[in-house]
Amino acid sequence: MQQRIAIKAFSLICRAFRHRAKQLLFTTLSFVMKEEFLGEFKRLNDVFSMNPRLASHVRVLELRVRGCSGLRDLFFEDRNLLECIGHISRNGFGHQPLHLEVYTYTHREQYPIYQGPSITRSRSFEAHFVPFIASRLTSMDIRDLSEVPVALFDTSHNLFDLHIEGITLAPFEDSKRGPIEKRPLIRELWVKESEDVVCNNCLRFDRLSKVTFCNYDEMTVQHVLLSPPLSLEYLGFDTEGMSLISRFHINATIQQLFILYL
Amino acid sequence: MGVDLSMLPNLRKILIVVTFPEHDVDLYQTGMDVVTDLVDFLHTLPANHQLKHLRLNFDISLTLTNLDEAPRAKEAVLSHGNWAALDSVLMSKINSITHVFGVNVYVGFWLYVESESRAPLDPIALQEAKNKDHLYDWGQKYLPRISASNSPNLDLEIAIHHDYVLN
Repeated sequence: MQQRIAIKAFSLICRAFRHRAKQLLFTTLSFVMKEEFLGEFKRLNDVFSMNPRLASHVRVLELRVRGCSGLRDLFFEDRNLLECIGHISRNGFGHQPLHLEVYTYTHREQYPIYQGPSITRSRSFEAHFVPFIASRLTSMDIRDLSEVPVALFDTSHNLFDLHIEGITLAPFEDSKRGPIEKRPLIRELWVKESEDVVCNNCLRFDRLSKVTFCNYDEMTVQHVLLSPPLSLEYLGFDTEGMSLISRFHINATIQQLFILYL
Repeated sequence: MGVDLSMLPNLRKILIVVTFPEHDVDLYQTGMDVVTDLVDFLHTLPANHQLKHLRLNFDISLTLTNLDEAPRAKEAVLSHGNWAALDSVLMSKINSITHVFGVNVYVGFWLYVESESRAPLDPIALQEAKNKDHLYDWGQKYLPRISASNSPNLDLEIAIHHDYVLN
């Protein structure tokens, strides 16, 4: 917030600074998913409607979810929020990077019984948000979300950098999914407790260059490393030390591997 | 053993965090020696390896009831590791190459001191405990061959760190 205030002041110094200040102010958009903030969506939509070019500066989209309420229809049926997303989606030029970050306020360590917000409470998320934004995403960082629609991954065709932690998928019918060749070709992966996503072929790893497995899960590791990608340069395990070495197996040569972190 | 380092021909850097079991009792019960596990792993590195950097972090947590126990407890944990085997395997991997090989061996002790009297421990006593630590030369004691090596290919760094946490 301090930084934003400073940037606003900076933009008033002279006209030459205005354009750069606008870029910086709109690089990261943070949506707080609380009812009290619905008015903020309207303000932002008014700004984008008057000056749609501002939406082209957005590179990071944050959805901050309150742990106890999750992502609800209320937000994704809000006309102003959806129009803001529409502005961002329409005004991105070519292959501009767009990063999506979804995280909760409360942390699991503080509330051990709490299982994370349920994204499926919002059918609108799948119907209104995913189709507009998924194909634009180049990187994603999502944590502590249960029952995420598989379409969020399946249709993120340009996604290459993924950080997932504590993610489970909503029930889905395999026959209704798009072709596997269109699913994201991941280059960098950081994964913790998200075997649902990795093991259901939501992602392709043929060009994976960097992977970190946090908290060893055999299914996840096997799925990614059963036929190790030739492009793999960094393999990391963020776990509790050497007991790991006897647990995981590499049965094939990984020609390009440059760094091993255990 | 699941990993054969010979199957990773272009590997240039390995970083390994070795976490010791938390209590001495665990060591006796399981018979597990994490240093031996590490040695077995390093044996799979081929003699003509191209590795440029190997970093080993030994992470050891201990719970103490008073500060005076620290030297004995630290020695007790370290004495369960087969350091001679580690010293030997590192030497063999250094002697077989012609390029510069950086080796960092780092021991980090996390000492949780439970004050019996519930009174806060004297910060000066804590500082003194850190200053007079008898393991400052642990490398010469536990890894004598690599510490004394004058190989021009070896870029060696051995360090120890103690962090006291008051419970």
